[in-house]
Amino acid sequence: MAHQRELSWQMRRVLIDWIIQVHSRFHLLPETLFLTVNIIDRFLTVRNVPVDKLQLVGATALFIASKYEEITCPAVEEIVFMVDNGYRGEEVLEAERFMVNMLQFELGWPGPMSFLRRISKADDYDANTRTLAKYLLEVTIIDERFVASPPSFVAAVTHSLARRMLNKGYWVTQDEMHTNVD
Amino acid sequence: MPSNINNNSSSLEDIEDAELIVIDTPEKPHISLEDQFTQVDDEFHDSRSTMDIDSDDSATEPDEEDDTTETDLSSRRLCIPSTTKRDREELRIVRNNFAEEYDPWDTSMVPEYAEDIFRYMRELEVPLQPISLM
Repeated sequence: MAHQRELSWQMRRVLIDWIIQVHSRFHLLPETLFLTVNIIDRFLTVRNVPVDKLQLVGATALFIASKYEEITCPAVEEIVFMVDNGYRGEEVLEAERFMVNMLQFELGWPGPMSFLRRISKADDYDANTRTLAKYLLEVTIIDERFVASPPSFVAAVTHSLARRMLNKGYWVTQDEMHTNVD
Repeated sequence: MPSNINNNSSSLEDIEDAELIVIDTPEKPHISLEDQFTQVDDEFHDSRSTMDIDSDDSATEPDEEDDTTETDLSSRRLCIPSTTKRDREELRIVRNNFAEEYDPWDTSMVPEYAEDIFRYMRELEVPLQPISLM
């Protein structure tokens, strides 16, 4: 964020908080939320964004991520409604074109949910651990200290922490095996 | 919102022309996103810091909420995994000893390809990480 001329980490937090609200309003998958945040962060890594366009970047990232992950995704009009008509539909579409080009159409980021699933398998899909780990995963996206953490690492950490919080032992060595954190 | 405040270098003539054309659509002139979202400066990319997980710095809990300043990338460190020799040894032992249960009916994990899939995902997550995109 140091390279952004107008933005601060606080603004990212506000944006992510808003994204989470919109995401839950649309009843989208957790994978979509994680991919949205990845798209935002990667775009902010390569481009300066003016403050008044940050929400456009966030909304468009959600729009792109939904198309990648969801079976039915929100329409442009719904996105415009969610930004309270702050941007026009054409602006969203233009931003979409620009963003996917900046990301070189690389949207196949493997999110933490896939890694968590593999860890959970080793843990025989223990429901409580898995639910708590999923919650902890969602907590990490709003905190900028995790922007550079690989998803496999975050998945392993949250599952391990969930186990400890539930007094299920310090560490399942199988966790490590499945994520190959190194 | 007016995004063109800084862009008033156009001459009077241009403004008159523009008014002639857009006389019934009172929209702001279109500035391409290419111009609004400028390229970030390169020197940023060398200034990343890592969190040393092994060091004991529990005294400096990083959750003071005084971080509305612009200089906060350096003050709040990023969580990038690091391992010690002992960790790596433990991982090596686990990898050698752990045998994954093979359930051919597990459609969600596609067990036949799980090894390859996750190896590929581990490769993919590195270049698609926000901080390594350069």
